[in-house]
Amino acid sequence: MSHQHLAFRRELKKLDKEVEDIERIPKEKTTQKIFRESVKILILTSIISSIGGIGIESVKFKIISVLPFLILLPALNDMVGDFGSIIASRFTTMLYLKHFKRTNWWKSPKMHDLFITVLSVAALSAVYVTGLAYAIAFIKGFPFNILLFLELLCISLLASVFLVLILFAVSVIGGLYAHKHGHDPDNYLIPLATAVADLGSMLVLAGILRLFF
Amino acid sequence: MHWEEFKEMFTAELVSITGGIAAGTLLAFSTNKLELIPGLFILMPGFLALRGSIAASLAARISSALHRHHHSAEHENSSFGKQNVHASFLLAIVGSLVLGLVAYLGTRLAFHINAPALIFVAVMAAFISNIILVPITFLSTIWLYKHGYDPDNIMGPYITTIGDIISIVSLLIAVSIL
Repeated sequence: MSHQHLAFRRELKKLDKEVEDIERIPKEKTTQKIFRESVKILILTSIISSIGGIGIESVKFKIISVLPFLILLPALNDMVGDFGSIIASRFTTMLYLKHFKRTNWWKSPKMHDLFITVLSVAALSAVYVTGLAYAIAFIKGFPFNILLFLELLCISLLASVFLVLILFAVSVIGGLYAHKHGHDPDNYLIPLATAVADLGSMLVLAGILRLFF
Repeated sequence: MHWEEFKEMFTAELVSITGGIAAGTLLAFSTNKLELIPGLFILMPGFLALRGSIAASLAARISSALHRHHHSAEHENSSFGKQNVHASFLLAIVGSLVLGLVAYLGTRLAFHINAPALIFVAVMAAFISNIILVPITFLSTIWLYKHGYDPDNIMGPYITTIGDIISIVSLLIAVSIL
């Protein structure tokens, strides 16, 4: 192999390494950015959710004894969390696509549509989830009691509608704040909205169990 | 109200809460394990929320990138895809460790019970659930977008459905390992 050929291969290798280094720079930066932007809010929101968990732990034996409640618990928690992530991610996408101005978001027809749609889905889902939870509990041997069923239905409906209202407020305020300060609301809003949903649903359920059961 | 949006959201929600009910039914059949480890109910909402937040944030980032025509988001092996997957996994492990510590302290302070096993259960369950959940989230978001759906409407509910079942099973496995 000629001296020239070896020198050319050495240069080529050097160039390859430089390209690799250039490609690596944004990779490290973005991974770190996602971690840095998300870790604090995730830890904060996990602590918030755990506070809700303390409420549930304190009525653990009541939950285990009222079987439809135990079956309903993850589903209701999910449902409210889902609305948190739907509202937060839809709001962020609208913000990025400039569907409204930051100063008059409440006038946006798309925001009105989102509000009505989420509220309707929340109410119907609450009815479905309560019926299904009670049916499974009944199959597992829990006695059917119409008053208890209606009580559970009211609890699910009221908790869902109340928490959807709270989630809209959190998403709009948090999203506008993050966007204004140059952060990606996707990294902040979903953990924040789901933590508020978790804490709210756990505290509402724990309170109701203490009061009525 | 757009009927199509309502239909998309409600269908996804029905699937999601049915998954939640499946997770609740798993709990109803494992009441002995729930009573075994004190503080598990403190860990559970935070654990489910953490897993949901990480997966939903991952889906939302990929979705926002796709809506903004950032086509490199479509490939798992692209730098953008890898960065997101790595960050999500790292967040899950660090977050669960903190969550385990918080649940341990909460049990100790609120109920005067010493249960260090909660820390192990949190990290082990996070490892098991996220090794399955993070790739599923990434690939599903891209699949939905490519097939003309809006991942923003579907991914949140969808990922919590699978996530709940996987997380509850992971928690029960972690408790069984102890």
